[in-house]
Amino acid sequence: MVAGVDGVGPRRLLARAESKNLRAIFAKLREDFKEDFYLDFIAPVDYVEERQFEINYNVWIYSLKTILTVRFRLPREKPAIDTISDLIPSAVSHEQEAYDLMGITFSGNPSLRRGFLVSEEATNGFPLRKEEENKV
Amino acid sequence: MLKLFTEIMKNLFKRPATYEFPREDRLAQSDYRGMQILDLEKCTSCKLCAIDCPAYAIEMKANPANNKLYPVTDFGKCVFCYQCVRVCPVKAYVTSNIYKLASFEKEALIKDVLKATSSES
Amino acid sequence: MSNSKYLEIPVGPQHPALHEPLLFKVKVEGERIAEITPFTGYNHRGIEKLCENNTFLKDVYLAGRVCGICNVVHTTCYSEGVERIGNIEVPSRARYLRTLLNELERIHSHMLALAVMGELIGFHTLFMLMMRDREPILALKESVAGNRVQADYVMPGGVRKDIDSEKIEKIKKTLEHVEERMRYYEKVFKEDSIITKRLSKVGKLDRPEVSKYGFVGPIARASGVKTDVRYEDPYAAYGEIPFNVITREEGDSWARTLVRISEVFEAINILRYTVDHLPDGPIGPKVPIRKVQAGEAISRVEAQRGQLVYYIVSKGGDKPYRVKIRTPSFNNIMNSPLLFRDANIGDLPVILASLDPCISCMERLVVIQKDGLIETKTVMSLAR
Repeated sequence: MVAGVDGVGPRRLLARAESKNLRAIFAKLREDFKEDFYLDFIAPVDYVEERQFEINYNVWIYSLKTILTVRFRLPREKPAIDTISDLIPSAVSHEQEAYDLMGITFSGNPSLRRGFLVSEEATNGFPLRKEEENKV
Repeated sequence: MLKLFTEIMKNLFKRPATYEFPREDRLAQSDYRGMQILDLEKCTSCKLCAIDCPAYAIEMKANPANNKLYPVTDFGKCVFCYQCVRVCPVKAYVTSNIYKLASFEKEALIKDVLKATSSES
Repeated sequence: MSNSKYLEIPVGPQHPALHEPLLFKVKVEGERIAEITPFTGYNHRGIEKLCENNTFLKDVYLAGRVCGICNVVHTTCYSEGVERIGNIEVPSRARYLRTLLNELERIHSHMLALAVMGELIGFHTLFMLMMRDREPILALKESVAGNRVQADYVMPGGVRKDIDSEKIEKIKKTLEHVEERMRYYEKVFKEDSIITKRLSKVGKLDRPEVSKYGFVGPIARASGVKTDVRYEDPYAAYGEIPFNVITREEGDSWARTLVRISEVFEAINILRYTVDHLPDGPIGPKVPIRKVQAGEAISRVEAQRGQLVYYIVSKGGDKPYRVKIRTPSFNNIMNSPLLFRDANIGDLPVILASLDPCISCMERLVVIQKDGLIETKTVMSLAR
């Protein structure tokens, strides 16, 4: 499922994977660690020259005292990924924020809407995307 | 409520903790970050303070006497972070703890050292 | 009018029970709360986007203005992130001075949270007394950093000003006075019958839900989870200073308040140790750091409300490529409807004050178009 886990510093681990394996990875984390971890934050980054979005899921594991980052790459034309809000209820608000500001859709989450953090009329496209896309 | 009763009786006969500003003057401590003033003799026109100001409050103007550039600060935009004081290579800014800078016109907030005689507050 | 048996009450955005703008749509049935939904978005300022357009040097000041009451922790976290990317070594004296200011801010923020809790249950005398006793701490911050609230003190590579022995004496004297007053307030919160009746068994949070919903900070510690960034992932000088992590088992609003009171005493002890063991040496780099090499880093610190995380991506040069800020109030407030089950409408301010919301930390991402928002609207409608 996962391409490889590297240590990128003291108490930091990084794993890269395919976006279709997202739910399987989190189901396995829930099975192995049970209540020993929590979802810290979801960070989308816009790499405009490579025409890709990168999305990082950060998880803190209490007993190992490390942050595990799981990293996926999505195509820029149609960024879509599955939701994990039924496995981990706290992911709902993080996914809402990523949709409202960067435009990544999470299929299966019914509460995604524009206007969660910023109103749609006041912005020109998705706010956090890089300048090339938002030129009028 | 009874726990606070002794406290309330003690405070009935004490001086109130409010300072009646502006009748009583409330001095800032000597280390307070107040208005910073330029020393024109030391300025070398390197423009580092204007480049590094996070609030974009410093503008370089030409001195009519010798055509050198010197910085003019707009205290309506300044946030008193003292980045200009820190980054100046010749330490041309003098720090103070002056905090009473309010005025009725916006133009009076732009403090220009060469015109200091006319607009001092 | 489909839900006619429920009465919908909007709490906020301007409301005497809240100190900051936040909208709760509360559906009540009689006195019992049936459903509650938080709506945010009133305090956006566009800091994440602004950080991409400004240099690393100016971003320290932007990070400090995300929140007024937690500005020292924001600048500390940003500086730690930049130092991790560039492998910059911080001198020992600067690390101890950073710890000193962080703990001073922890004390004054917790005293504010306790005073607000007293005000929201109607105890105005307690509010006024605690605010008066908080003033000496702000005077200490003014003498160490230069300003009472917004201390632009921490920067990548070290700190900006030094302290001398006269200020150290002043710190020690003030701490004695503050500790004596806090012992008195601890007695009030533990033994006063009105406070215990209103706060106990209200807003109960069980232990398995803490990790499922991602609660952080004193809220998690009051439900029995021993988690604290200063203990697990040490930064500044916390790896060398002995201290205790306070936990309680009850999980209700009273336990959360008592955890905050005990943390004030721990902070006073850490301050005394820091001031006695301050090493000598330089306090920062001679020239400010302008260029950072390419890389990325995640830095975490323990803010007063929980765990604060910064994720910084740099591609070389003098401007960052992406700065992501995740504040503790985002996790705590957006998942808070869980705590309002089986509560009465009169318990709403009590639960909210025990969560200690900091809304200006929570929302800081919106667009900043250089032309201004009004022009964007008309250009968009004319150009298509």
